[in-house]
Amino acid sequence: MGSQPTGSLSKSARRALAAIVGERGVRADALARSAYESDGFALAAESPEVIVLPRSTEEAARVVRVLREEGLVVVPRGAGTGLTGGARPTRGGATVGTARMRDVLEVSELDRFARVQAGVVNVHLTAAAEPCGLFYAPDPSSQTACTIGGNVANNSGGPHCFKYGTTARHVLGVTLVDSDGEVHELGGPDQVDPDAGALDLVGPLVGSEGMLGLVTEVTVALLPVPETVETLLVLYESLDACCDAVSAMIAENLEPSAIEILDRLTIEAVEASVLRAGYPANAEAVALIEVEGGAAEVDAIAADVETVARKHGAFDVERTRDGAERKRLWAGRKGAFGAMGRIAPDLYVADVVAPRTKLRDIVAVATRACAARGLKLSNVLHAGDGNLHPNISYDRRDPDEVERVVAAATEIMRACVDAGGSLTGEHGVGLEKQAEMCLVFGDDDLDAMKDLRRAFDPTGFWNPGKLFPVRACREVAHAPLPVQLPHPGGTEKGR
Amino acid sequence: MNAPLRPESIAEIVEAVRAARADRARLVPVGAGTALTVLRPDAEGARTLDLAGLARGATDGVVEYARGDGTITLHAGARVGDVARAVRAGGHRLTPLLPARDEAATIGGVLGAGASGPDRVALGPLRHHVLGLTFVDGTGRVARSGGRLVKNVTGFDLHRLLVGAHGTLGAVLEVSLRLFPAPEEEVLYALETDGARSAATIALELFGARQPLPRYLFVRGPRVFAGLAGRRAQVERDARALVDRGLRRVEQGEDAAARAAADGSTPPGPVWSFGVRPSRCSSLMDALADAGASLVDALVEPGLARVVLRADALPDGSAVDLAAVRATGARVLSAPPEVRVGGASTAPLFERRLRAAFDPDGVFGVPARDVPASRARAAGSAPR
Repeated sequence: MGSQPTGSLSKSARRALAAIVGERGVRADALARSAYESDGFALAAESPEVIVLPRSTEEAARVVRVLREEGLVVVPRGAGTGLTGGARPTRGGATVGTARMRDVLEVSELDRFARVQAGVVNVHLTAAAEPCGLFYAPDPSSQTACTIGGNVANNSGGPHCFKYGTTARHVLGVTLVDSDGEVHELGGPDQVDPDAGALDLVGPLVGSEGMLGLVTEVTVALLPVPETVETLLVLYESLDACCDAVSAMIAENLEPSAIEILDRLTIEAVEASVLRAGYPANAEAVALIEVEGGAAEVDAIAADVETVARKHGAFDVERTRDGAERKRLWAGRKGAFGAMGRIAPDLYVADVVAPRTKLRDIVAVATRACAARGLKLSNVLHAGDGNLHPNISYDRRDPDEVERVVAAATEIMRACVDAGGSLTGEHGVGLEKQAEMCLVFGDDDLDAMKDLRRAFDPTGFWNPGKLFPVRACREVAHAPLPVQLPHPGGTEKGR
Repeated sequence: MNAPLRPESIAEIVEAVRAARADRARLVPVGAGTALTVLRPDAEGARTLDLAGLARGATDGVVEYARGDGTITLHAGARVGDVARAVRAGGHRLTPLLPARDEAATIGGVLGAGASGPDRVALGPLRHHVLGLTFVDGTGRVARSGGRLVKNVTGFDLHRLLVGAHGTLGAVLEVSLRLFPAPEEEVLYALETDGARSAATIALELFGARQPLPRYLFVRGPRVFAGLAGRRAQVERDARALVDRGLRRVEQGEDAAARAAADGSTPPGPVWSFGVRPSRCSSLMDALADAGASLVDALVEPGLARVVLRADALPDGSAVDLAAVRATGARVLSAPPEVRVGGASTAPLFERRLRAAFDPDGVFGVPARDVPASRARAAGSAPR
């Protein structure tokens, strides 16, 4: 029994929810339920019984008390752009979304922070900070859709996290609704550091995949907009040479703000799409590199980047400080995943990390894993951080192809772990990578993580059935539903 | 007091923790003992768990220095000074920068204290650069979270709980840190003013001006210090902006500026340290004027100004008026060892449950909390 039945929503509870959030904030019709059945992880789906969309912390807390009383579990959800199934249910229950919590509550220019509701879209936060000459650093590719609350849940990254670090380095505090419907202020503008002897509770909350509570408001640090920004488009005749150049830039301690790699198939898809970034058709791989800072610093770093790039075989380097030109080059990168829709109906985006000395090796593993299974692979890399996105095009209506995709993805993950890397760089474990957690962590490590979970959520109310692998029969009661398609790695993984 | 325990392996540490738990004894993990404030080994019935021996058998306590990847993995007993020297040879810089007198501090101790250096204004606090760690909790369980990678979101980040926990919850055994490129050029500038209040005002102006972006920014008594680091051409250009504001260069030579910043920004001896929004920093300093404004040190960074008082140099009869301090929105970040004020968790429920899970019998203790303000007031005249 993979699924544990939960309570179902009574009419009186539905009325109680509507009284809190309004009729528009409670949806249980088939259309709404199907819209919330999955996220960016398309290999599995299950509908929530009800979707509730509170408008404030206070409403969210009251909603939680009603749902708890009804015996429903809750999946917190931002925009549903995640890639590992973290924002969809495993056994019915309620989805509490932040779609109606979109207010920027405060931007403090001198103190350099902003306080926002969790449903604020990533780019809207930066837009709100712009008049003060400030910006919010983490910039996931999905930033025109993804929410700050979702970014907190996944400790999201993005190209510029090479210089500025992922979400955890920018969150000063959160407002958290716990499983009793109580509201907690953790950290915040007046408590950036925990008091002496108190624990840093904000730290482990970031990246906890919605399993410790519902984050309703977030205080983030803002950074001054850099004086000068230069974008370099570096062209290579081989992906290997491009990877080696990036490894060399890291080893030589160069400090651009972003280092991205796109391979030939991705370039072709982007150029064939409406995005048309102007990436040349004669390159097997391009590195998209950004350098930020004072003008003299940008001059010096960009020159060094070009030198290292050419030393490793770059046949052309395009450099620009023009705002419109830069935007065009980046549009190709940010829209790369969408553009891949031209190649096949579905795209599996792997998200793995390797030490930055081993980029080329992992690309080779991904190439072999896909070639052996007749799969079409394209590569997008947050190369500066060692975060690889091998992307596999497929058609979810073809069960055999889906099986091969899952097998190839597992092989890539294993190779990363063996090389000293990890399962996920910015999208989390969710449903997809639960079994592989055992490759990285032992029983004591996982038990300690479960202790953290129980300290915040003793009853498994928040986002159950995610992240933790099933290690023994006694844990089946807490197990997620299996992905609806057979997992071919079952025997080779030796679980 | 009982004799200190000096384990030399993880197995010996686990053994010590299990024995302490069975005996209902308390352990206080210590490194070099340079920053004992919140938990003290001389507390009744406590035994010191000296973790400095954990570096033995490895060069400078280094488990792996992945130079090409910009990361380092260390035994808890590794000495910060040794590590800083080791990575300097590879073109890297370790944060936090610690003053020369604390070079013997161990990395485990620095993590437990949650210490940061004067480069925090540019690089952020130490806790942002901990990539993963291994610890032993109060049940003797050895657990690991994170990893050795600069980007990684696999599993819950337990390591963030341990940083700044002052050795409660568990003892750090091994840690991986992100390193930073050593700057091509680094300089430190200073300006003498008529007092700490004026110096802080200038520091806040520099912070608000945003150009240049300082690597160091702190106040020491009546002097304000601003440091620059990065590419030579940029540092030279930015330095002119500091000179235009009347600051003068104080140090030169390789790493001299960084060392001077580390020494200058961290007063020796016991301190009071308060945190407040930068925009309220001046109000806080006014509230502390009674305690002798000339003794005030301050550091400014995004979202947080820290104001530091040397507890051993408060004028006789003066005191820290905690009520006035708190009225400005400030919080007590740390207090002298003989005073217990900090530790007011904003989420006591979660904290209590965490301590119950990781340290059910209190082997690693719980920090003392919230003494009455009257006792705190007495601290100013307490002889040391």
